[in-house]
Parts: sequence; C-alpha cells; structure tokens
Amino acid sequence: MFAFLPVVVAGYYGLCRAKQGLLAQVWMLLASIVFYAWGRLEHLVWLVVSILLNWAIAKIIARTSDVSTRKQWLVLGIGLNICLLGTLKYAKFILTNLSYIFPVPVVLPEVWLPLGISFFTIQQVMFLVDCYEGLVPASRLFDHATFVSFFPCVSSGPISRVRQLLTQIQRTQGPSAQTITGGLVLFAIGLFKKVVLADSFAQIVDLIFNHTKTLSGIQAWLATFAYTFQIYLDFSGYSDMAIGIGLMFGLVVPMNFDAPYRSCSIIEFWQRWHITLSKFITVYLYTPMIRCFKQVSLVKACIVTVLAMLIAGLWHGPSWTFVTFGFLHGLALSVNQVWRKKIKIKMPTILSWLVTFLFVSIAFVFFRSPDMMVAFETCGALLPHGNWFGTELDKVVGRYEIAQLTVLSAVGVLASFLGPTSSQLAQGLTLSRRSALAYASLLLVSFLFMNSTKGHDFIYFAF
Amino acid sequence: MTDLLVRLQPIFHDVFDSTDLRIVRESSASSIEGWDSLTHIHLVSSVEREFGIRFALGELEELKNVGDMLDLIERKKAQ
Amino acid sequence: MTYRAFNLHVILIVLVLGGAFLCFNYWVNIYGVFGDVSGKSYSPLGGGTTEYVFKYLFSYNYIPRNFDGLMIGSSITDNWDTSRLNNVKVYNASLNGGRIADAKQIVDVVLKYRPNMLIIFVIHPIMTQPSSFGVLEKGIWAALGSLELFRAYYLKLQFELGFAPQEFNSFGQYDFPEIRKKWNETNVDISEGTFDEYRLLVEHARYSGARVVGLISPIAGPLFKKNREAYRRYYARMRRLFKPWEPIIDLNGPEYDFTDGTHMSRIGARQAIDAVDLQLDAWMSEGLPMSCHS
Repeated sequence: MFAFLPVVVAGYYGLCRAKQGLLAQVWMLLASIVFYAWGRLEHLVWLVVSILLNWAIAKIIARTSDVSTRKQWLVLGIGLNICLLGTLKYAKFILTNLSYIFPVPVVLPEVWLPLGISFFTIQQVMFLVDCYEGLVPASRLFDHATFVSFFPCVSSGPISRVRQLLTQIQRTQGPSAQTITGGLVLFAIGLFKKVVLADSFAQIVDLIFNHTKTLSGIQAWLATFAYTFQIYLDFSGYSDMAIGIGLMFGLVVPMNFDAPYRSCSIIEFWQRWHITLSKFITVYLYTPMIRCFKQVSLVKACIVTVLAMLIAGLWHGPSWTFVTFGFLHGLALSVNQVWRKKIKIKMPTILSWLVTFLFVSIAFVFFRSPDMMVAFETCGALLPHGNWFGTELDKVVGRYEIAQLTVLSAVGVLASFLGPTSSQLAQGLTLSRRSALAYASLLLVSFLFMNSTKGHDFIYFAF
Repeated sequence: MTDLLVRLQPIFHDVFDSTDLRIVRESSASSIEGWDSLTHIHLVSSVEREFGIRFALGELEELKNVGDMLDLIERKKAQ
Repeated sequence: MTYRAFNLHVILIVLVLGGAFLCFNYWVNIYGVFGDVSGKSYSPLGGGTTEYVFKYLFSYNYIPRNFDGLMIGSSITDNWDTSRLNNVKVYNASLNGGRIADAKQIVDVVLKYRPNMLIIFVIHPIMTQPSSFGVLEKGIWAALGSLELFRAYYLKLQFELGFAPQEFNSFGQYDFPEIRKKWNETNVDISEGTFDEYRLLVEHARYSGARVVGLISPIAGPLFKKNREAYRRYYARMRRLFKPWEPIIDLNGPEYDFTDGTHMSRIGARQAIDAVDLQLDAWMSEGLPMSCHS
C-alpha cells in the first residue's frame, strides 16, 4: 500500500503531461478499483451494483420529459439506494429491534459491510436529485464510475457532488506543481494528525472505555475529552489526506472541517464539523421536509431539525447510540435556534464556547460507546459520584507511555484550539528549504508511528 | 439588476428581523449575522414566493451570497 | 523557490533521511534480525514490554540460528538460566507477565525458521489466564524503524553509559532483583479460550516437527497447600495435552518444596534449572519417554 499512492499519482501525472486525458481517467478508475478491492474483493460487487443502478436510473430520468414519471423514477432510485444501504447495513439492527416486539428468532447471514457504502450512497442520492432537477446531465457510465469510486473519497468522504468533482475530472489539465505542493502539505498534515495524534488519544480512550464499570470521575472526563479530540483529529486528518490526494490529481475536493472546536454555538459547530455531510443534511434532508409545510414556523423548523438529525445519527451506524447522538444534536440545534430567534440574550464568548464544547464532548460519549449501557455508565461517571480519583488504570500504562501520550495529547489539543488550520497552512505556505524539511519530517515521523505497534483503523471506515 | 436588489431588500429585512440591514451584491452568509441554515430556507422560500420561481435543492448552497442569488433569480426569470 | 523545487525537496528529504535511517538501523541491528548472526550474542534490554519486543524479534533470526531449544513461560521461569543446561542449547523465551498468547507469537516465528526445535512448555496457571500484553503488530519491520526501536536505543544508551544494569543474559534469562517475597495468589481455574490456545500451540509445535516437553514449574509450598485440590485438577487437565512419549518434567513433587514466594530466588532458580537439566539428560540419553511423572 505504501507504493500505491506514489505509483498512481506518478502514472496519472505522466499521462496528463502526455495529453492522454482519456487514458489518465482510465488509470484513475483502475486505481480506484484496485484500492476498493484491496480489502475484500466481494465489496466491489456492491459498489458496481450501486454505480450501474444509479447510472441507469439517471439515464432514464434524463430521457423522460413527463414530470410525474420523472418523479416516480427519482423516488424509485432513492428508494433502491436506501434499500441497498438498509439491507447491507441496517437489516440486523431492524430485525433485532423488531424481535423485541415480535419474539421471532433472527438468523441472518453475516454480510460484510462494503467499504464506504454510507458515503457513496449519499453521493448517489445527490446525483439523482440533481439530475431530476436538471442541474446535471446523466453521466456516461465511465464518468459516473470514475466519480463514485474516486479512491481518496470513496471510503469516508469528503462527500462531493457530481457538479463539483466530475466536471473537474473531465476538464483537468492534470496536476500542476502548485497543486501537488498543496497536496503534499495537506497529506503530510493529515497523516500526522491521524497516525501520531489521533492514535495517541485512541490509546487513552480504548483503555478507559474497556473499564466503564469502575470509572472514577476523572477517568470518565479524561476519556470523554480524549475521544472528542481523537475523533476530530482522526476524521479531519483523514479528510485532509483525501483532499491532499485530490490535489495531487489536480482536483479540488470540498473542505470537510474548519476547526470545529473553536465554535461558539452548535449551529456554528455543524457549519464547521463534517461540512459536506451537514450540507447534505440541510439541503437534501432538512429543506425538502420543511418545504412540505406551506408556512415555516420556528416550532416546525425545530421538529424537522430533530428529525433530520435523527436520520443523520442513524446514518452513522445501526445502533441506538448513534440515534441518540443524532437526537441530542437535533435537540441542541433547536435550542440554539430558539435562543437566537426568541431569547436573544448574548452570552459571553468564552461561556458560549465552553457550553458548546462540553455538549459536543458529552454527545460523543454516545458516539463512542458500543452500546447504551456503556454510554450511560460513562455519562453517570461524569457526574459527581463519590469516586473522583480512584484509579487502577495507571498501573497498566508505563511511565514511558504516559510521557509520550501526554506530550502528543498536548500537541493535539493545542492544534485543535489554536493556530492555523490545515487548509490555512497549505494556502499560506512559504516555499523554502525549511518548510520542505518540516513537511518531510511530518511524513517521516508519521511513517515511524505507522510502523509501530498500536495501529487503529480510521474511525469512519466502519460507517 | 439593481431593480432586483431593491425588491430583495425588504425580504432581508423581514427574514433577518432588522430594518438597518443594507444588502449589497457582496453581502454573504459570512458577513450577515444570523444567516444560518434555518434563516436560509426561510429566505429562499420568501424569495421564491416574491419572484414566482423555484430553486433546485442543488442550487441552495450557491445562494449564500446576494450577488449569486441575484444572478440566479435573473436566470430563472428569463426561463 | 518554485513549487516544483519544493516538491522535489520534500520527496528527496524523505528518501534520503528515511533511507539513511533505515541503513543505520540495519547496521546497528540491535535485534539481530539482519544477516548471519550465528555465534553472536544478543540480550534483551529493559523489563516490561521491551522484553516482549526483543524476544519476539530475536525469534526471527537470532534464536533459530543459535539455539536448539526454546522455553516458553511467564515471570515464574523468566529468571531461570538456561545456559546451565548441558546437552541442549535452550533459549529462555519466558516473558514477564506473559500468557500463552504471547508465547505463541514467538513459537510460531521460531518454528517457521527452525521446525525441529525442542520446545519446553512451562505449565503454570498464569499461562492459561486470559488477557495478554500483545506483541508487535508490524513484525520484523519494526526493526527497521519504530517507536519500539527508539526505546531500545534509549535503553542501550543508558546501559552503555552505565546508568542502567544489564539484567538479561544472551540466553534470555531475566535476572531480576534477588527474591521477591511476594505471595501472589494465582487464579487456578482454566479459562476455556486460553486452554484451547495452549492446546493448539502444543499441537502446532508437534506437527511442525518440534520435540515437545512439558515442565510443571514449582508452586511455593504455602500457596500450593492452600489450594492443593485445584492445582491437582489443573495439572491433570494440562498433562492430557501431551502425548505419552512426550516427557513432562514435574518440579512440583514433594521432593521440591520451594518456599521462595511466587517467584524464585536466584538459588531456587538455579536448583530448578539443574533439576530440569538432569531429567532432560536422562530423557535424551535414553531417547525414551521419561518415567518421572509421578
């Protein structure tokens, strides 16, 4: 896998320079297929099914002129996408929950969740809707396959739209030295965030979350905050890498994170956290639901917000913990709206930041917990319960590890709160030997960490 | 074009609940306080009603500044 | 500086610095994983998890090239000096706090390079407890550059500068400070999962062509007497993992009444390994199943 990226980028670069645009795109598609099939070959089947299905439906929608027939095809297409995602990802969850009501034994074949299915399903739905609304033409199969399977984004986003990415792929002159520089810088930062910083937090988190029955207050808070930083550094690091790789191909992939933990309200948080998903939620979930009403009122808006966030929560995974996560955020967004529109009291910035950050951290407890039991145990331990300092876990970790984790966590915390963001760093780069050395070192240190014990998969790969 | 801007102004007053708000082509979601997704949908539906047009879902993201909104309204009305 | 020059700089620095680092690590070869290391001696450094890393990486090259046998166990046997065994050169791959899952990683690798090893399986309830430290995920690659390697260099430096003593010998003996008079109660019940792991490992060794020996390490008298029935059941079950022709050296009989504590003193450890030596000698000279398990 180490050789994969350099080879693919170099090949693409060469083909583009030789003015072989078509071959370059073929090369990119092949690379994506290899990347996707690397983990499990069977997954490729589902990706291909999804591509063929949506390509065909888009074609039909584009050919049909009758509005109601078009709409029927759109509904069918979205339905099929949801069915595909539903059967592969949610069948077990649904049946298990149904069996609480109707006591029938549930026996299901073990299906491996195809890599990134939640992400590319969203892209497909947006593609169909855009086709239906006449914003984009139905793509050729070759183009559609290149777009959907684009390997930097296929597993965990950023979620992009046909309009943003495909037109670039078709028109690209190939990467320039400048875009490659941006790509290298973002890739280096992202990799460092992921394998050095996020994985250090992960060690703390995993250790504590395996012992939620006997948590002391301090441990519970430590785990909660550590996970808050872990998931941010992990996912934003991954997004930086994806955007960086995109730039190495000369393509601009949409930004996904903008220092979300500096937000001073939940609304602002969702404008800066997983931006491509929250845009999808507002545009393609929230808006159609709210458009169903003739008149928009604050109450209706709040109900719709909670509904949309419930769906978004469930999208993250087939578990009540994710539903709760979505519900909490929906609720908080509504409170935030009511506050803005009705109460209109301005809190001091530091206070509103603190409330936002605390809420986000606690909501992530549900995101991290394997089940509701653990989530409640952890949340319970956050409250004063007599056991503040009792700890046996420090015996498990050696002094050397503690020193290492402390230093790296401090770097992670500081980077989340202060200083330029990754995209600011990439844009404000001064070209000098020194900065070349700095980014090369980031890469080397990351490689060193990758080759050390304690590897974690990207958190979002499982979604 | 300025004609459209004049017709937009009261809509903004209404949606953002502030009569001091003066919009120009360059005004955007980042420069106008309180322009979040809820106000956005409110704004969009008011604009749709005022001009008798309908925006596609995929266009909503591009309407986050007044200039683009004016251009799109222009194009929609021309259709 | 142009963008192009910047890109080339980054790539070149990564290649040159990274390459130099790899070459340096290859040259130092602190884990003895590169090249022919027959006749050379390597010792682990530092206790704790670094012992795991060293012994695990030794199993790729150093152990198969220099030893005919391997002893796997926990801290109970970690301070036994296998260089005292006369007839067969056995590496003591015991790990402080080690479980069967940890030993498995070493045995698997060693057998790959030298299938006809003599493998002494220490039988002690600690080996069949669940939860293991887990060893290296990256295998031999860790020797080319990893945090573990940096830590090894750090320990090496401490040792060379005289800040830290060398507590291991080249046979893997961990000569931890004299006598720990601790009486840790061990849970004698077998957890089924780990029992299976133990069984599979013995079978795997046997089918690879290794000669398998069981070794019941001594339990300190007071601990043993307190829980005699449980221990008896434990040993009876574990003995069934070995074929009739595979010797089981039992150092827990009435003639070996150790009172050192959970771990043995230096003298106790010496007596124990000498007792093993005697029995192994007898077995090897006869080439017959030993009849010493009473």
